[in-house]
Amino acid sequence: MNLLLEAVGFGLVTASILAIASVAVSLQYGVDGIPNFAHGDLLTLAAYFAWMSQNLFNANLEVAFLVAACLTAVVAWVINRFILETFRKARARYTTLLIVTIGLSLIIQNGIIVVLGPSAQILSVPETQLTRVGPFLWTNAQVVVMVIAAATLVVVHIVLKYTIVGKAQRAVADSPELASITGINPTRVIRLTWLADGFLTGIAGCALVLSSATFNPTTGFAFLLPIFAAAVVGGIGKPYGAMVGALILGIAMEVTAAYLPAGYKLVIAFAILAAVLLVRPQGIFTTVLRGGAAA
Amino acid sequence: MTIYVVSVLINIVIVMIAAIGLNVQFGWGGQLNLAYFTFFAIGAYVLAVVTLGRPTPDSGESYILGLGLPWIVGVAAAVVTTVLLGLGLGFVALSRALRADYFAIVTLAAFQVVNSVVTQQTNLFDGAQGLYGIPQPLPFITTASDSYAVAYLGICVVILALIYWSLSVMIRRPFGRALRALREDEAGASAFGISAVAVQLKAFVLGAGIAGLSGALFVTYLTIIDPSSWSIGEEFLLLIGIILGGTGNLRGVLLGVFLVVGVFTEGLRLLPEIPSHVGAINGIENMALGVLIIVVLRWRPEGILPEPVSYDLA
Repeated sequence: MNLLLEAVGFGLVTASILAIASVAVSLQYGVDGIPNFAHGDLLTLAAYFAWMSQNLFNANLEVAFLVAACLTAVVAWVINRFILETFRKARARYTTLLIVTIGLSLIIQNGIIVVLGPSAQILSVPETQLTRVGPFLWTNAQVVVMVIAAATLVVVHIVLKYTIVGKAQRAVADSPELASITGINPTRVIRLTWLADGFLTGIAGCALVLSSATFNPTTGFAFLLPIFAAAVVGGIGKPYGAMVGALILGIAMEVTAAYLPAGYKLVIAFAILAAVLLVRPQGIFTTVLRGGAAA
Repeated sequence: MTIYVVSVLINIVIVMIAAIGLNVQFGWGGQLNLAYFTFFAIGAYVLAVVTLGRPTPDSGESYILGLGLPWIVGVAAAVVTTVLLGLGLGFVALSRALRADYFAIVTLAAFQVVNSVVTQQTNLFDGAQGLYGIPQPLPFITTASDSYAVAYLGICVVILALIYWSLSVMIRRPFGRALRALREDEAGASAFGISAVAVQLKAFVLGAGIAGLSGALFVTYLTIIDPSSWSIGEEFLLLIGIILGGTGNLRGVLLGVFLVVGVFTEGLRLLPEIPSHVGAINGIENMALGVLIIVVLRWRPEGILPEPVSYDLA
């Protein structure tokens, strides 16, 4: 029983990291309909940015994370503005755009290997202290991860719900054509969304290394399946659904890991993804079936 | 020198077989199957455990089966296994509205899952250690000789020719037309009574079987297989061969594989390794492939030899 509860506790930590990353994916996927296969590598990139600002400029952890999130946002913006946008303008086939993001994933992963080597790196995080909260056992870093996630998601909620930018974003996610009739420029909204996507992904990458401390060039790529699974389970383009999807995936994965070898984390993530696609492909939390392709 | 050239040729021919199999799914069917190389690896593993004998206790190896059966049985088992797995994965990936994004996500997920299970479940295929010493099919020639490699190259070329011929016939038949029609306009093709899921699933299963066959051929020659030898980079190598040569054009695919595997990666292998940066050459190779695919897709998406609009006029 204790083992199960502690696994649920770890699940909440994984869910927190997943939630930030899959909300970011869901927002971006919602406006432009492209599953970004380089998304996992943006998490990796954020970890390396934080590590570099720590090692090259002796930045403290907070500053390192902020720098990392901002730089990741810039990278995401550049990817959209200078690569994907030119493909969209050239009216490229949909699968072409998917392959382009896989190409970007390969470039980022191997770029890191070429510049910094394939071996794992360690971010220096404050000393680990175990805290018992109710039935759960967390390190203080893991508690911070959950606080960061909660704060980030509240900010996302406020921006989406109460600001003009957030409303425009939701409008484009619903229907780019209708949105442009009302004077919203979808291209600008997509650019802004990629910037926000990159920033959120940067935070997720930092949260990931804060909880694990070590990382390597494929850390984020290995996280891609649970991120996509959480976004699909929640209903693509539905950031709130992605939060719940992340909760389901995070807890299921860590509970599995408590009883089986770690490789089965991905098996359970895949099983949940497959089950949702077979039974409720529109995601668990989408009530209305929308017609047409990816919107 | 002969042995080097022949082994490069064997590699190219086997990758060509794999690539024309992926062309059925991706080129003609429009399916971005990111698990294709996983089927290749499964074919290789199945051939290995069917033809290898039981592991001896003091070798420290552990794997399933170990039947010690003849090579041809191993090849058949590899194809049957990948066809059945293709049926299962294809059913999940194609089941809903054939959405290209879900299809790619599900197949990428399958790649990651199979790789992590094979690595961690060590009693399946000996985990990260991998399998080695896979028996050779031509007992009448010694494996170390040049003539062995030449004979094996001959077998691979014959198989490539057979598959190439069957596929070029198939694409002119109603099934091939239906497949291409669905790729261009699913709703339109369905209106003509084409069952989208059935046709797409057939193409997926056919591709999976060819992947399994090419994996079996590959592991027979290499005699070793482990999880590190199939990454998303290998999958990408096939994709870029197809796209560079001409998506959907069989001759183009062969040309693309020759350029990517024969010229590009073999050329890079001649570069000296940088002592301070182990693995840097491999990293540069993968980065260059990523850049190459983006450049080709941007400026010549149809590839060097474009697919003919209609095979009847070609």
